[in-house]
Amino acid sequence: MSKETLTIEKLCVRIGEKEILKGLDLKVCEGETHVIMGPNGAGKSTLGNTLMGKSEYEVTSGKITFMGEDLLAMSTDERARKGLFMSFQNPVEVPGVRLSEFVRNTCEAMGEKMSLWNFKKAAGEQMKVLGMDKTYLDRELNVGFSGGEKKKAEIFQLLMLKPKLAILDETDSGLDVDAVRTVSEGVKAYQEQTGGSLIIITHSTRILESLKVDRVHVIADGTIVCEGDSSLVDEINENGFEKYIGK
Amino acid sequence: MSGNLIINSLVPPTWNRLKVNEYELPLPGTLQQDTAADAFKTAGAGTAEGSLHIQTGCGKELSDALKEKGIIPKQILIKGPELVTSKIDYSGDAADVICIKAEEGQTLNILTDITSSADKAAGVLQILIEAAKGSVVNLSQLVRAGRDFTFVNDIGVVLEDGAGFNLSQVFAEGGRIISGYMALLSGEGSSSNVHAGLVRKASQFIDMNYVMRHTAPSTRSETYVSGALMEGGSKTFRGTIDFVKGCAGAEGAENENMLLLDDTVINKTVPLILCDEENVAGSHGASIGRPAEDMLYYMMSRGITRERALKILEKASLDSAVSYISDEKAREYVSSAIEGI
Repeated sequence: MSKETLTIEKLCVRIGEKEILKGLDLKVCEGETHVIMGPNGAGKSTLGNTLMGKSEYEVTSGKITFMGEDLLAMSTDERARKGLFMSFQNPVEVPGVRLSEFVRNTCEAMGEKMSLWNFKKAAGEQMKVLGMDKTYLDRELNVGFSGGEKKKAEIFQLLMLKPKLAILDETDSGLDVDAVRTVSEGVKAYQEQTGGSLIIITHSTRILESLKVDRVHVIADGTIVCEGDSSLVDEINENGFEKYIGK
Repeated sequence: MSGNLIINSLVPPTWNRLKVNEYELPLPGTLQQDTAADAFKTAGAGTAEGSLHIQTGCGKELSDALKEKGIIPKQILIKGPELVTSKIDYSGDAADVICIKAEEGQTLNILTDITSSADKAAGVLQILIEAAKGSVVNLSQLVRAGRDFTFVNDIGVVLEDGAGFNLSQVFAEGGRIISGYMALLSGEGSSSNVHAGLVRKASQFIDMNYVMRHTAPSTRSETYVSGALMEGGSKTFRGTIDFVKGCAGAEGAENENMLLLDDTVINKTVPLILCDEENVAGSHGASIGRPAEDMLYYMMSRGITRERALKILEKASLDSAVSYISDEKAREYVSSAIEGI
């Protein structure tokens, strides 16, 4: 039996006075790919940001165990160093900081100190997977990047950091068909290279086409209302979320 | 009156209570000269006596005082585009007036690296540049003087038709920095681009007065200042775009991006656009404040501690100016020099 990477038990989260997650349970084992789907406002991104430790998201009750440890007791950077990664829906711009410098810093933070030569070699290999030109490395992080470039830069970091669990928060949103395919190839490469686990938060299903999905969860009104295997994706594609709302 | 020099004056002045109208400089009694001229000579440039009459950012009082103290202007002779790296180390109170002429169509690449081996001393470097028709002068400056050192960096540039002046300044270290810059855009289609990066901490300060005077048509100026202030560091930036009658079609832009990393810092910004011509475009933009929490959260989500994230942003303030250094050798020199700062 595979080891549990992440266990969420009866998680309740609020932002200000508004309760968003209302007793959510989820278990992700080593190497598994879980898909979280649901209508707008259901709490999908809240789940991602709560796992990553964003300060506005207040956990009012429940428990999260990651790699056998209490995730809620860790700061955001500690969570990342423990092996948690989130690809942001809208990655922020960091003026003045080049992508290469940032990723080198993140690799160092993870305890992987590389010479500039080795870094460039490793970066070049991963950029090839994503069809990214090496000149991206000299650009300021996410500054002036198109939507597709931002998402590729996120997946590039995923490939460089090799986390144990990656949360992809609507990584496919706003991308054209080709860009989704490229990003999807990157995610597949992550699975193959690391055997890591994935939580893919998505509205659409195009990003899932080349991935093996283990479990699909539907969130509505802050809790998981339906679970199933990958066939659930097709069912949602056909019938939408209507039957899950107010369930 | 203390007898101090009044420099970096704002034209026209604003309320005195804001304490931004000028900077009072106590100039030392005795000043050595040729520290900078000798450094240029060591770098392979020729030198000769010769002066230029060009207005500077620090202003007339400083120019007059240097003349009174017998500082003889030195002309620096640079033949071509190959980078001239002048390593200027101040071992005591010193002053130099450096004159540089770029001939028609010539490109010059100059780097000044300012250090100080003397504590509690002052260095004055006045650089006067005349850029002839179609010439391009790229001046990069790195300042990494001691914590008790006062450095006065005063630049004046006159640009003829189609001439361009690109100034990249990295103010990394140095207790007190007073920096003046004036570009006289007197040639049609001439341009001035300034990118300054600064970090001020441990009670260091910088006082800047940058004036872009557009007198000819279709001239362009861009001034960008990025910086980080912390631990009692302070900064005053006066940025003036002066559209003089006859400069139709001129464009000037000022932008500032300052990170205030704690509550002990002082940041003053005085943007000024003077306009005596109708068909011109001037703009000022500023982003001043603490780093956005979303930005820190993003960086921390990659395993970087909050403290390290702030350090990265601090260095980014300097890197931003480094990235605009066009000469590759100069860029690498400055980049590696600030690596450990």
